[in-house]
Amino acid sequence: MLDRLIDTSKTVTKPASWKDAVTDLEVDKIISTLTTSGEDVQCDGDAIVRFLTADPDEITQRSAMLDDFAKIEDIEGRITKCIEGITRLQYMMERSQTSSEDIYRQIAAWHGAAQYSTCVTMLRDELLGRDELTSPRLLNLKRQITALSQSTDFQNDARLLEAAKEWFQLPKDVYVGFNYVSGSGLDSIQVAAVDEEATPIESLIRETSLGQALPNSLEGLVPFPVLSQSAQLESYLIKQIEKRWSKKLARLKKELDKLALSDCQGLIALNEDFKFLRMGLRLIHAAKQKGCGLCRPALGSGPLQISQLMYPRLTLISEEPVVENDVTMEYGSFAVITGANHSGKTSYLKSVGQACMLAQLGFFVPAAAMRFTPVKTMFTLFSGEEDDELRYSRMGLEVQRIHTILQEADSESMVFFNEPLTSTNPIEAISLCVEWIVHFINTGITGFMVTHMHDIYFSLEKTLSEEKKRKFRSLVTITRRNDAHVLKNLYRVVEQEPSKTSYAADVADSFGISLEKLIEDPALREQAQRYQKDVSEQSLFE
Amino acid sequence: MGLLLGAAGDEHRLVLSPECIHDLMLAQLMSEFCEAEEGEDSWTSLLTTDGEVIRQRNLVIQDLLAHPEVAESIRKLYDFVRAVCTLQASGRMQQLSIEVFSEFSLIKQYRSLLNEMSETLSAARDSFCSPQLGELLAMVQKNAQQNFSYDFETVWRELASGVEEPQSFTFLFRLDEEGRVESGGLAAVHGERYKKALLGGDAGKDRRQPCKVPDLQTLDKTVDGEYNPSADRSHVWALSIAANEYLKDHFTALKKQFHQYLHAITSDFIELRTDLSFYLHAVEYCRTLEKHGAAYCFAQIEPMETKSFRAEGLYYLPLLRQDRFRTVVQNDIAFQEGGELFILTGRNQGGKTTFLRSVGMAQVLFQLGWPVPANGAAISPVADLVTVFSQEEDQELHNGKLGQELKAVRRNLEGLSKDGMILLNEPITGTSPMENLYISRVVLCSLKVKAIRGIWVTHIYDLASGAAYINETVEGSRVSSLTVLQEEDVNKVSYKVVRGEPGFYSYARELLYKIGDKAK
Repeated sequence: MLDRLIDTSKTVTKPASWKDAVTDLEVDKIISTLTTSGEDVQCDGDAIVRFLTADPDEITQRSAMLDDFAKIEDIEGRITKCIEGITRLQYMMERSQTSSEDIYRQIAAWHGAAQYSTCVTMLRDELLGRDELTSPRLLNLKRQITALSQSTDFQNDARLLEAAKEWFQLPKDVYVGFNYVSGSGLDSIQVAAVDEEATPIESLIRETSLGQALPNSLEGLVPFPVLSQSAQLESYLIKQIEKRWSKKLARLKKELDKLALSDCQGLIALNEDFKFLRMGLRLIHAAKQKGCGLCRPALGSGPLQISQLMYPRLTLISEEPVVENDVTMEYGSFAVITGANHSGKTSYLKSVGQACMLAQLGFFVPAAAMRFTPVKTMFTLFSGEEDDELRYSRMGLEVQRIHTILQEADSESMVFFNEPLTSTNPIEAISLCVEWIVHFINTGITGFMVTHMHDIYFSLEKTLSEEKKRKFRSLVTITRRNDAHVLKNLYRVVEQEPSKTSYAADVADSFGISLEKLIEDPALREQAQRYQKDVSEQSLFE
Repeated sequence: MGLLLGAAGDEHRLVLSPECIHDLMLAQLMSEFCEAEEGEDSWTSLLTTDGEVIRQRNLVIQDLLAHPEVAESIRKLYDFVRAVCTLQASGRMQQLSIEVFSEFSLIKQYRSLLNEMSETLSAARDSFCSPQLGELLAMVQKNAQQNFSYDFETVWRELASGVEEPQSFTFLFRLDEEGRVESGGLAAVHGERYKKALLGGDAGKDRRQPCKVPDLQTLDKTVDGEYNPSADRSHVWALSIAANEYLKDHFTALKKQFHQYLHAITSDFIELRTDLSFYLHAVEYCRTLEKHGAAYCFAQIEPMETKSFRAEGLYYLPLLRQDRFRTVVQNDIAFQEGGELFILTGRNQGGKTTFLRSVGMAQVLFQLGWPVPANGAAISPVADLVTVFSQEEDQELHNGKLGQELKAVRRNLEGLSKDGMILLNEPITGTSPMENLYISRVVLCSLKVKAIRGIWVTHIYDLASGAAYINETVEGSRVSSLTVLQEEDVNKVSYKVVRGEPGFYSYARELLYKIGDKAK
């Protein structure tokens, strides 16, 4: 029996909350970016959560395999070739069982048998036949595949298939005659001839050029439509061929029944593992192409430490250089993140979340180094969702989510909040957030909260004990004014007290929202300016 | 411009404004003598200022007039090309119809056409004046060889012998490696049927030919979506429907593909469609004039800088509609080289505007490359041709009549270069005669100093009578007076335009009486 490379039985607990986190933190988009169009790969939350694990050994095994593979030249091409080969094998084996016509089942079994042999050889030679492999699971698979390819059954199968090729050729060209009566239509049909070789078709109606071959057909061949009625016609044709080839097909069936095809299903099951590992390899390749640093996250006790972390999703999609940030966070601590609009607060939050999730997939992370402890559960609360069925308000949905978090999160959890409680009175929102953070700190839940409500920090500073204050941090995204007094975001995060402004007025002006730009008539403009001056003390905007 | 029309580029185009086309009544003329086909380029886009192109076109027309058999074979080619262009694959067939088979016969037809045309052009080649017809022959021969380089007769016999009266056809289905049908195509159409064989059967050496086959499976002939009681075996019925539906779709697509093929093999001539149409219409124009017994000539082509226009026996073409040619009045005109501005005066309804139009028309026909309606002519191409005819008042009163007129004059003056021609027909009427004179003199001087040539029809006689003085004092074009020759009998109109001093009388009263009498 061939052993699997990825053990999905060690998947994380509470998959529902992980699934929300996958979406909110956009890890699904990272996976989607790593998928080529047309590939049969699932990128949704459920598919990703299946592979998430908190098991340190499983994480280590996976990253070790990636480390091994990353050293092999053109590894992505090789692994893709294996995946395509096994996919085809799976397809043929299914067809050999489920096809409606006996001839189709025989042909599929014939192809499946050949493909099995190809896959075993390909795995042995193209993928696993490398001396650089050190990962235990890859070495184990290498041993198993080598043994399989050298087994008596495998050798016998190959000989049998080779012998059958001598007398069995698949039908290729079928000539059909239709009799026609003018004014009435078709009146009869029959297969006139079946050839095993495909004749090159030279159509009479084609682009002309000098020295062309003699036309041997009025038109060239066009794809046969996949329609229910076409199937009737096809069925008739194939039955006629079956009638003519009945003896050949019977002999073929007899030979195919002798094949062993050892652990074919085990080989097919490995495909899922190869697809997963290919994803990890693509992340490595993509980061390297962008010139980004990449690290194999190390497991260990102590704080979460990531140096020179680049926002993973942005790293994959942006042409511009991505700003690096360092992360140091004691597990069981809570950080509040504040800063100017559009200064990178949410990006930082997602960077940390994505890095942790990628590490718990066993993947590499775009950073210089990372040290972490896997968490058992992860929760997120990103504001802005609406209930599609209009049962709950935005606030209602948030409250439901926070309730779940408060119930289920524990000291082996990590939580991420992005501007919670914006749909309510700020005073109440601040009060609630302060309570939750106190709860998280007391429970030892690790977490991050992005907010514009600076008073959360100042309130906690006043209320937390000195001991608890050590578990509470304020992170700020840096913004400066240049010589022209224009705001510039640096996208860097530092630990400091929050600034008491978000520079909202400047931001609005840069978008053309100002009295000067909106009112042309000087007299009218002057009136509006006078009015604004009168009401500015009551404005919440500043 | 195409193979036959000459190689002049956009910089050698003579562009006429819509007002000019309207004023000279060119659209009516062209529709009468050469009905434009849908999709063909408008004849106005073929006007050229390049004397060499005009010469080449003249030669082609002369060759076609001299060789009616060549013109006829061009006509056949043109008709075939038009038929190919108008072929349309209509929507999905309602009934299985093998009309697509009969369309295949167009291939054979095209081949015959090319061979015939090649023979006709080759026979006349040595007597051609124009090199373009020789190039056309080369194109025909190249297409014949390129498209039918194989043994056409043999291939036709094997694959398409039944296209006119089909009895059966062979279809090739190709299977993929799983044994599924992956593609199919019509291999051949026959005038004979497939026959049932008692002891097996197989196609002989040529799998595309009708042969004896085992168990010839009957299909119901009248499959039209309704249950046919005679087809009481359901699987036969299902197969009949399947075969018919598949072939309907397939042949619908095949028609489209076939039309694309036809377009491809006739593409050289499709591109020449405008050229072919141009010359066929030119020949038709000449034949029409001949039928009327009317004169036409290929004008001698003078260099642009000489600003020449000399015509003997010039007449106004549209008059042929109404009169026999022998009653149409012909005139002579000769502009001085270097530019001359004629001030044309004379009695009302004396033929001044007609004369003006005949000059404009002749200039346009010349620059199309067609013969002009005159006994003889020598003409230079003009870089611009503008007309300023008196207009109806703008009903929306944006500018007032004078303003409107002055705007039109200004606009046209701006569009006129020194190698241009201007034809004015009472351009300013919305003011007093004195002011009209004043303004007209200003305009006249501006035309003169630019050395423009042209004709100005007016009732402002002083404009004509002062010609001598303006020539003494202002450089540029010569200003001269033309007048409608007055018969001794004041009721008779000569329609003859001659150089001469203005008559200072328009016979308006006479005209009034004439019209009044008619009304009575």
